[in-house]
Order: sequence, then structure tokens, then C-alpha cells
Amino acid sequence: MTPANEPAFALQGVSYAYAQGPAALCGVTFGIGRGETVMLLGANGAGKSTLLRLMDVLMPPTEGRILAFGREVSPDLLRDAALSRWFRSRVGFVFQDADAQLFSPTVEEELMFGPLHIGLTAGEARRRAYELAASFDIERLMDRAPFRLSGGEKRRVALACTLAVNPSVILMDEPTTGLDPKSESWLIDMLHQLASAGKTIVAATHSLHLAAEVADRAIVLGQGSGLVADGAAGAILDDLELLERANLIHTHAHAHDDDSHAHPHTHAGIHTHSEDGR
Amino acid sequence: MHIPDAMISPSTCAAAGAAMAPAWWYSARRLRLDLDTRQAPFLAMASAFCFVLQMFNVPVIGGTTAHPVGAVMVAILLGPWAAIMAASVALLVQALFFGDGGVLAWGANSFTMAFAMPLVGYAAYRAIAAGRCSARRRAVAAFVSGYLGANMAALLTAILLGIQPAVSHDAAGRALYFPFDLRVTVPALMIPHLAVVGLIEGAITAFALRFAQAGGLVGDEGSTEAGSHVSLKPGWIALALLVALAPLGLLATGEAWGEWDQATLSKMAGYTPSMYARVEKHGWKGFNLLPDYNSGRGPGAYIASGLAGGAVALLLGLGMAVALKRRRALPPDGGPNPPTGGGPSAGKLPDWLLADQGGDDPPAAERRRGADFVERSLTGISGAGADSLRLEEWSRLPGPIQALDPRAKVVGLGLVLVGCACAGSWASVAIMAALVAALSLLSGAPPLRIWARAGLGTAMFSAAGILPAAFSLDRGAPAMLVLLSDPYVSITAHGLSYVALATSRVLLCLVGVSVVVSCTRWQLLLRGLGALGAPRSLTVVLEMTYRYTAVILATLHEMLTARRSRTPGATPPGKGRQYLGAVAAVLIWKSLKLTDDIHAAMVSRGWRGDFVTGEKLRLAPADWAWLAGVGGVTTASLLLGTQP
Repeated sequence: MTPANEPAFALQGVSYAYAQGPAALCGVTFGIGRGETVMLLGANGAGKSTLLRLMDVLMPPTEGRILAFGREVSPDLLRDAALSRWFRSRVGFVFQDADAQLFSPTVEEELMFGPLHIGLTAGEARRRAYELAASFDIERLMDRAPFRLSGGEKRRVALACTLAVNPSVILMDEPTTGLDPKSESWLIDMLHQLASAGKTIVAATHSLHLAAEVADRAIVLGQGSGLVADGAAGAILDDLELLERANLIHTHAHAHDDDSHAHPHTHAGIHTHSEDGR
Repeated sequence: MHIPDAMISPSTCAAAGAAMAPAWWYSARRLRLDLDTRQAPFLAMASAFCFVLQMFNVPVIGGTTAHPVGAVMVAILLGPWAAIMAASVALLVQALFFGDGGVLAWGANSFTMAFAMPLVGYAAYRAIAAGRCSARRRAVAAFVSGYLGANMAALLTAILLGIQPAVSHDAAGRALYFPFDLRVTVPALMIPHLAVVGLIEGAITAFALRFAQAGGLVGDEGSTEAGSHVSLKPGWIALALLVALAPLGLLATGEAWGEWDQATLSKMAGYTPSMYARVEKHGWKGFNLLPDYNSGRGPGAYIASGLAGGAVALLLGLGMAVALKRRRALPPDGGPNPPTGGGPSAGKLPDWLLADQGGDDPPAAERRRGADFVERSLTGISGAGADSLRLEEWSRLPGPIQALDPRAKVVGLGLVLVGCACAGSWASVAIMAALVAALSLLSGAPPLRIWARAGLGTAMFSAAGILPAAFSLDRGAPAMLVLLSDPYVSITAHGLSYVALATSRVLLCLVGVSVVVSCTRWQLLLRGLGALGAPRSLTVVLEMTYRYTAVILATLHEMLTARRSRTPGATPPGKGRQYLGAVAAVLIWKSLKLTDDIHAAMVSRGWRGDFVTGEKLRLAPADWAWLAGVGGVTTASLLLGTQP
């Protein structure tokens, strides 16, 4: 039903302004190809979460159009049951706040919620729930209430319940927040698996470490809530001047041996101590 | 203000439930129209919020504490229909899990606190803050509406309790349920509410509204989208009806006891200021044993004492306002203006922060006496969390009751409650006690803990509500022990046996609810309700309420703990009240924010306003056996209970 050559997402001049607030996004235009792993980079308040919510059609853009697989989508258009089911089974969203995302009384029902609501049978929904639980190592949690889980467990359940509808595009908002190093490497491994299975992944983050590990491409949102850069992840992560302008890295005093100097610093994996650093 | 089971007759419970049914139906419909798919998360958050707010222990005069209900606040911020639903759901959760208010009495408690209270408060708010007006006026309107709403709820509770002797009494004229009539219940409930509790409710309402305005949650029109196109009419009609109904309650009482004569009627028709003279002369001298009361004071007495209480409350309020205003005057040297120049530049820490504080030796510790409001609230909140956690553990134990079908459990619970509430003789109480004891042993949960938990709830209300019935002021009554000869106070055998019977009924009801609820996982209990015809939207809202109550409780716990870590010493009560108002407002803001996120998360996963569930329930032979057993015992008890 969708031509294979259409991009997963196309945003055309999308702007968004909250009531009584400044613009959260100004005229953003970009496309996301199928199977791409894209990191949305930007400091706090750059509009990453807003952009993801617009892409998941949870609110209408103030200006501009959003196309998913070549079809225009908007909250109004998704009032149509068939179109809504089509879109919701193709695009999944992992929210930043796991407490908001996990609203069901048990983990089992949480995992079954998506499949049941896109029209799968109870049997199929249950089968998917248990298979996902096995591969996410959360089977022992199935009977538990989500709000009684630990932070890392909540994150796993949140990702699993998004994947339960088998979406081809996965939107993620700050997926590494609050994860310990072990869980973070588990997540990175999971994202690699999903990407190699041909899933499209769009993740908002300010973790340059995550971006360096998994991204093919990076899109940088600046403080003015517009698009600052869009290109191969490697090139963008090497452009320290750009990253500093977008408030993703900063310069500060830093002791090396007996010597104090200032240099760009991220606290993440790409901490460069080059010879011209001072 | 929460009426426990067995305190009012099942017929009153049924009548109040029947009165609430159209209110629930109508507000659910209005919400659907207004909110579309947002209603479920929205209501769940509002209910969870009401629930949490009722755990705030606010210091009141005389060293006791009271808690706000929050229904008026929700009505102003989110509209009256949301408030009706939210407060009703909060009351149901309290009845099922915390023994606060009865399960059978849910309709009655909803009528007072979830129906009359928000509607009256909302009507008052819209009347005072009509159209565009200043923030100050809105705050005053919120205060007044909170005050009026709380007092309306108290008045209705007093009426529901006070008509019990008239509604159900045995051949000898002894009350079967609540023992005191209106002339006792009205002053007993109204005076503290007029003088203190109403002021607290008002203050919380006003603080929350001011905060919501500051946070941009409420526009100039005064309420968020949920309440924006609500007509005022039903509120006014309800208010008028209630005012009209109040004297009817008096008439009924008088008639039932045959004390209502021409003179009383004329007094009731137009109570004149001469009633004040009556109060001066007779006053309200204490509790009156029901069948023996002297009719000398007339119904005007308690209306007058209510009015007097109101006047006192008004004076108190004015005094407080004046005092607060004085205290808020700025000290002469330290105004709010920021110092000019000399401050640290951005990114540099001020010098005083870098300097050593000195004085590392701790002072001698002084023992603090008593707990202040923050500690009491913290204890309450931790207790609630621990309680619900324990219930969840018990519901997972292997046991015959745990294994039952939830529908059978819900029906069985209803039977047990009716049996306990109707037990009118010691024989029937003994039968129901045996049944309840057997259930608590079968549950697998520690039976002592269940009985202790229920006993605490019983003690709270019964001590205040029933115990005075043991005393008599009537010299003619056969006395067991004369306590005072002038004025005359004695303890009667008749009164004591009444107190024991009524208290054991309340205790049995609470234990029955505790056993069944603690052996059932919350979501299964709701599934049982759903299978028996409760609308899916209600059970979903209940599920989410339970879940988000935990989230809000955790937030509140953190906020209070954080405050404690920064506040040395006890908090003066005035500051405490201000702080609680601010905390309540922050919580409602957080809940609304969370509502939006939850709704987005649900929509994102394909929810379109209807819930799909993959569950099927089946009744096994054990379920039928349970129903037959519980039904049989209850019937036997009812048969015994009808004997005089």
C-alpha cells in the first residue's frame, strides 16, 4: 500500500508554538529514509521532544506538513479509524517519562495494549507479549505493576511495549536518561539489532556517546529551535565548533597532571585531548 | 466526614446510590462530550489527586487535625463534572483499600462529598467570580466556594446521619443504625466545619487557584477547557433543592417520634430571632440518648447554634486575615529589591559560598516534642504506601479465596456487607462474625493484621459517633452507673448494648471488605466489577487512579522530605497551612502535566477512546460453592436479625 521508494518521514516547513510561549520549532524541513538511524541532537529546550511528538501525530504543527510513507498525516486525518490503525501500527514512540508511558495495571497488559488496540486478536497479542518479554528478560515482571519497577526495568518495559506493535519506525525521546552503564550498553546493542533488521530509528538525545555508537546520520537543532545541521553522524560529531554552538559541548577548566587548561568537553565518549587543545 | 458501613441503614445507602446514579451518568456523558478521549487519564489523575489531598493532615484548633476533600478545587480547575467523577472514584478507592468510608455507603458519601460539595462550590465560585475579574477576586471566590462546599458536605452528612433514628428503629423506638438525631448531628458536625475545616478547604482551594493562574493553567475565564462550557443551572438547582430539603428532614424526625405538635410546627415555619434567646437559655449541653431525649429545645436550637458557630468562624477568619496582613509587612531594611552591583558575575560563585562556614561543633540537641504537620503527613503517606503494598502481597498468596473468580468475589462481598450491616440481634452478629472470622483465616493473610487494620478504622468513627449513646441524661432511664447527679449523667445497659452492637457491625463490615479486597488483585477486582455491568470507562479510570495515586504519593513524599531536609525545627501552624496550600497546587499542576503525557502515550499506541481487553472469565464449581456458602450464612443471619 505504500510505495517502497517513499521516505519514512518527510517534514515540510514544520513550525510549532505552544500557547502563550515562544516558538518551539521554526520552519524545519527534512526527510528520513527507510532504515536510517537518525539522532536528533540539541540542548535542553531545543525542541527535540516537540519534534518527535509532531512526528508521532500527537499534536498538529502550527505550520507546515508532515508526511509518513508518502501519506500526509495530522491529528485530524487520523480521526479516520483505518488511517489511524495504519499509522499507529507503523510508528512507535518511546516516551521520555516511563511513568507516563506505562499506564496499565500490569506489565503483561502493558505489552498487550498496543497489539490489542491496533486490532490483533487476544491470542496473538499475548503471544507477542510473552515472546518480547523473553527476549527483553522481563518475564518475571509480567505480573508486576509497572510503577513498582526500577528505573532500568521501566525503560525495558517501555521499549518492549512500543515494539509489540512491530512498528517500522521507532521514535525515542531521550532513551538513555537514567540508565546505568550496563543498561545503556544493552540499549545500544538492542538499537543495533533493530537497525540491522531494517527498522528506522529516530532518537532525540543530548548524549553524544549514544549518537557516536549507533547513528548513521545526525540532525542538530540549535537554541533558536531551527535546524542547524543535518548530515552524516561522523562528520557532525567531529565538528566541535558546531557542537559548541548548539550547546552540546562546552569549554571549561580541566586539570591535566599539574597543568590547567580549557578545551571543548562533552563528558561522553568523544573527549578529545588533542595537541592543540589549549 | 466519611460515613462507614453499618452506620446508616442499607435503605439510605440504596437511596443515596440511586440519587447518585443519574449524577454519575450525566457527568460521564458531559465529560465524554467535553473531553473526548482525554477523559480517562484526566479523570484518573484528578481522582488520584483528590485521594492524595485527603491525606494532608492540617493542624486545626485544639491540637487535632483535619483534611481537605479537594472536590471544590477540582470543580473550579477542571469543571464540576470532572469533580463529581474524580471525587467519587477517590471515595471508592478509600472505601475499598483504606477502610475510610463504607462500601455500601459509597453512594451516600459520594452524594455529600462528590456531588453536593463540588456543585455548591462551583456555583458559588461562578457567582462571585463572574466573567472577567481580578485574580484577587478569583482567589476570594475560590476561598468562599471551598468554605461553602465543605460546609454543605458536612451539613448533608449530618442530615444523613441524623435521619437514621427516624428511618430505622425497632419496635421499642431504639435506633438500628446511627443513634443520634439531627439536633445532635448538625451542631456536632457543623461547628467544627464552620469554624475550622471549611476555612482549611477554602484556603487550599484559593492557594491552588492562585497557583494555577500563575502557572497559566487557568485563563481569564477561570477554568480550563473541561469546564469552560458548563451551564450553571444544575448547580443552582441542586443548591435550591438542598436548602428546600433540609427542613423536610426535621419534619420527618419530629413525626417519627410523635413529638411534632402545633407549636413546633409554627416554630419551624418561621424561626424567629427569639430562638437566640432559647439557645441562651438551654444551650447545647451535650449528647442526648436518642429514645429518651427531651423535646424542649426545638429544632431552632441547632439552627441557631449553627448560626452562632458561623458568626464565630467569620470573626475568626477576619481576625486571621488581619493578622496575616500585618505580618506580611516588609521589614524596614530588607526590601525585595535586588542589590545593585557588587554581585557575582554569571558562572562565578559568590564569595560567601566559597568561604568556610565555621562553627563545626554541633549544639546540644534539644528533644522536640510532638510531630509537626510535615511529619504527620509523611507518616500518613508512607503508611498508605506500605498498606497498599501489603495488600498487593497478600493478594498473591496461594489461598482458596485468592483463587476465586473476581465476579463471585464481588457478589460475595456484597452479600457479606449486607449481612453485617443488617445484623440486628446478637445472634445474627455472632453468625456474621463467625463467617468473617472464617474468611480471614482462609485468606492466608495474617488474620490479626486484618482485624487490627479494620479495628483502627472502626475505632476512629465509632468512638466519636456512637460511644456517647451509652450515656443518658434522663433521670427516668434505668441506670447502671450514675456519673454525675447534677447535671444528671448516667450509663445505661440499654445504651451500652446498643454501642456494642453498632460497633461490632461496623467492625465486621470493615473486616469483610478487608479480607475480600486483600485477597484480590486490584485489577481483578475491577474486572469483576466490569463483568457485573460497571461501565468499562469507570473500571479503567479506577485502575489508572490506583496506579497514579502511587505516582503522586511518591512525588508528594519527595516534596515533603525535601522540605524537611531544609527546615530545622517544627513548623508554625500558619506557615504549615500556607505550605500545604502551595504543595497542593504544585501537585495539581504536576498531575495535569502527567495527564497530557499519559494521554499522548495511549494515543501513540493506538487508543481511540475505547478499551479493548483480551480477558475471559469463567466460573468454576468453587465459585458457585463460595456464593452458596456466603449467601446461606447471610440469609440465616438476616432471619435471626429480624427477631426482636
